[in-house]
Amino acid sequence: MERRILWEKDMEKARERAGTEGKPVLLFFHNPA
Amino acid sequence: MDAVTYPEKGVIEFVEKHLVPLRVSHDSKPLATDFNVKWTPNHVVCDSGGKEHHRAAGFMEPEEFILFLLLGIARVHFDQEYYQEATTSLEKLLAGFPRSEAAPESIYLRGVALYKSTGDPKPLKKIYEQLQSDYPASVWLKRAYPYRLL
Repeated sequence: MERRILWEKDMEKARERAGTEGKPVLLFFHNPA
Repeated sequence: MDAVTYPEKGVIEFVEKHLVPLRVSHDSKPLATDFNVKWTPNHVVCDSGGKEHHRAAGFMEPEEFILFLLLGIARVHFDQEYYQEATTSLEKLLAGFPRSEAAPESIYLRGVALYKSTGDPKPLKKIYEQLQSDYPASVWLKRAYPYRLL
């Protein structure tokens, strides 16, 4: 199975994880068009 | 980014190990407005409070992207006054990518972090000496210019 980055989609969830895991958030703004 | 950089094994492993990745559309409200996003791809490294510490717009190849992330992580630590952690991230960057475009800024930031954590001004002078020796054309040498007098 192909490995890929598992992205969060919600800032609050990402911040919560960042606090728990002691990591920064990488916020990626993309253009889906 | 999706075609070249994000599928790369080293990038996947680095992001999984060191960051919480969050992906949103460029017009996602309120984030795109809050972060003043005008161009994509746009990457922002934030702390767990959502505060921005490092940013880049435009495509980055895998190695450049990992450099961006290492510097971003170091900046998060530095801005939060976790100077030892900042130094560790910068040492990793300088050891793994000693001739990269991010190296001069990393040398500068590492020296300041060492000074802030110890109060010893010698690392500031060392910034100037190392940049003068290895990166004489760098803007970071100009920024370190006063430290030559220490």
